[in-house]
Amino acid sequence: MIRLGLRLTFGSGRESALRVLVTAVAVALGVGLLLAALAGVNGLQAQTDRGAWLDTSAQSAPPAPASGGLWWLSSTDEFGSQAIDRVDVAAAGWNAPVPPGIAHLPGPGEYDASPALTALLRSEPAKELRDRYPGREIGTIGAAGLPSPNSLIIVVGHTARQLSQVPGAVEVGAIQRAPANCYACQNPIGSGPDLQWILAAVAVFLMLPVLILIATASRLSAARREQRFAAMRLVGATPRQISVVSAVEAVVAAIAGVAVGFTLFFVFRPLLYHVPFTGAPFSQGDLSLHGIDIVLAVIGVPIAAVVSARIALRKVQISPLGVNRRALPRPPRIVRIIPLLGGIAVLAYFDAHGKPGSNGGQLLELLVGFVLLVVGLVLAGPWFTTAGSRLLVKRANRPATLVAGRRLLDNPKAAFRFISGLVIALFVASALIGALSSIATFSSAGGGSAGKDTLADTFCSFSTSNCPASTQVPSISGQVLAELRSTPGVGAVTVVHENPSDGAFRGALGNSFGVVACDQLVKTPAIGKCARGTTVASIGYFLSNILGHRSNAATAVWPSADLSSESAARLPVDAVVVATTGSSSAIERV
Amino acid sequence: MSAINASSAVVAGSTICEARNVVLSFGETPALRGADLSVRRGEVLSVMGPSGSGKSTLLHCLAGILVPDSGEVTFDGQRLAAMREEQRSRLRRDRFGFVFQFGQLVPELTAEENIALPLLLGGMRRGEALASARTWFERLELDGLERHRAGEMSGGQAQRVALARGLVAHPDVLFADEPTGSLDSLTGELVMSLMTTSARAEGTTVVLVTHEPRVAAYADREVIVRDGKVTAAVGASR
Repeated sequence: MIRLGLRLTFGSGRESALRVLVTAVAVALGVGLLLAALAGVNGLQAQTDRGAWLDTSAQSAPPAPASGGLWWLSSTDEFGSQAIDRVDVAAAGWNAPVPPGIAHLPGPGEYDASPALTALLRSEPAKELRDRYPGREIGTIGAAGLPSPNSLIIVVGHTARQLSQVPGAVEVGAIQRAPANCYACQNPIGSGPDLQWILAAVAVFLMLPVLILIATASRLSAARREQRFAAMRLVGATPRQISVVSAVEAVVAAIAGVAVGFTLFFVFRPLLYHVPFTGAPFSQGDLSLHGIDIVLAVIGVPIAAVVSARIALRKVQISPLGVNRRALPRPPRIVRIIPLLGGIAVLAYFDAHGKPGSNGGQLLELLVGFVLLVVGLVLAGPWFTTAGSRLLVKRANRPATLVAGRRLLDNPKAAFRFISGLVIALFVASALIGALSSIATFSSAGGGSAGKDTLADTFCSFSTSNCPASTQVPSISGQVLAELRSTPGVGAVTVVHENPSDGAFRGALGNSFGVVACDQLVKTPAIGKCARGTTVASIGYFLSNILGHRSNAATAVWPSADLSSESAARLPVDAVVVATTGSSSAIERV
Repeated sequence: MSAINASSAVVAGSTICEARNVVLSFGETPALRGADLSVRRGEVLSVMGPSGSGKSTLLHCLAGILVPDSGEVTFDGQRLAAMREEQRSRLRRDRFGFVFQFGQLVPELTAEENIALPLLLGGMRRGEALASARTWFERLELDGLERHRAGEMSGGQAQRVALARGLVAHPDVLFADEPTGSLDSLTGELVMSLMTTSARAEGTTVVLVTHEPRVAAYADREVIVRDGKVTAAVGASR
């Protein structure tokens, strides 16, 4: 049968050649896309792994041994729109762990910087960047410690005595090497796991239009092919034998497609290194393929191609009489649009009522909505085709339009099948662009900038209740505040204090972040204003939400915290908010 | 290989195919409304009737291509409706032959490959199947056309190739549906002559559907189908 299948595949002239060609192109696209997505997943994993050390914390690392651990304080700085990861370290003993990418720990007054940061330090005015990192550069952080070639990272050395006195510094027994399950991780590739899920989902969903294209290709010159198979069925070919014969063509096309797909992937892979999925390009070797990836593409895609072609031709095997007795298909019913409406309803509901709290819940919500939409589009397409065709026929003034409308009405499923692959591909691509844009916006929104002019330094990355005592800042010295206020381009400085009755406020005001004196808040309007007659206001949301993610922060009106200004000033400090003129010089100096 | 026991007793004149009260509709359109027909082993039976009378549908039911809505079709005493599709396919391959109005040849295959197709589907080795197919070229006056494809042959030649394909596996029954319908009268005469001569030589039963009395004249016995029923039997054995 295989030999007969090959004979029919290669002996059928241009029609068969075209069918094989289109199927091979579809498989090649599928394999190429799949390999690109899998390589992207691997690349994100590699980036995430290399940046994992930046997320080292007292919670994630084992306790320091008797021989001494490592004092560790990580923070994020900004220059322009770029984030700089700063890690202050100090050996607490002879056996202190060393971060990846550097040979030994920098001593007091020394630092190691990533190549990109070294270049930046040399190219920018000292007052805007270099002065932030006093000391001597003793080395460059190697590739093992860089999530991306352009990562801006600096490891600053101190004495253990100095660093242990700094709020937030912790002593760790080891440096984390695997990605942590943390929110707002220090690792700039923190959204890597999310992107991995997105890429994996995209890989799966992009296969759908490819399979539809393969099915469409299988139906090319279907009438003649059906005639051929019907003739074979008439003289005694069993359905299984017809399956083998039809599968041979699909397998031949799939093998050619896989070969071309791999070639396309390796040819275009160098370009993928420059795609900033995470805002950071990949390092050489990140977009490698694992054995399982290759097996998946080499075996999985051809099998999917054969199954898709088989489904497309299943009706041929019903009767040896071929299509002679086939009745006109029933018109699609309106129930077909229910899954599509369901998908829209699911996403609209969560958009209106808020997302589920857990990542798993959000993923499930998106997955259910997305799957319903994709399936809904495929199912509803023929119904929309019918509806459109009826309109076309009703309003047709020319014979060509009338014939076109009638032909579409005769078999709307077949008519839609030809464009369904394109519809799904466009939908998936649009959703992907939307998702990546959202992640890019989310990523760039961090770092504590409110609009372009107002900056904030939050001393706790989480809500106040989650801040360990070691990270609390009792107060900001008057000298520091005076220096800030005297910096050219700085308009005002507002100090946000820790909320003293967080639990009570939480009940009354939601997730209260802190309290602020209204005479200061009025000078930094980017983070809202006090309610009328209020002396001290309670900021009702986590500050980064106000600064980073809420475009209407300036219009927020915060209620009274029922505290005097003096009492509020004695509370630990949560954040310092600085309003500037917006000049890059002022922003970088601050 | 066969679903039917090929070693069953072969008695000339005994019933080989039978349709009893067969009813079949296509959607709302009735095609057969209780057709009864008995085909005797070794005879050439013509089924006549006007267009749309249901004669082709009756042939398809007898050949196990269509399954009736009700009634019973038997071959060699076995009910076709009780068989699975795979079994019916093997029956068509090993015990039946077909010649339809339009050759039903596979256009990608040469004439000899088309003739050998039932043998190849039955698992015979390619060389052996082709050798067996080539023996039919001289008998059916097709010499020199072995490597020709369907599109390179005339209608009469293609129909003779189809006839050879129908007989190559030495079937018990040859089902012919308007085999001369697309041929001129002279070629039609040639095809019918070769068909009946070869079938009789092989001892093959022929069920011949036609609306042409001239073609029906080649049969041993004639029946007429009208409005989905076999209404009359004409003539005795010639």
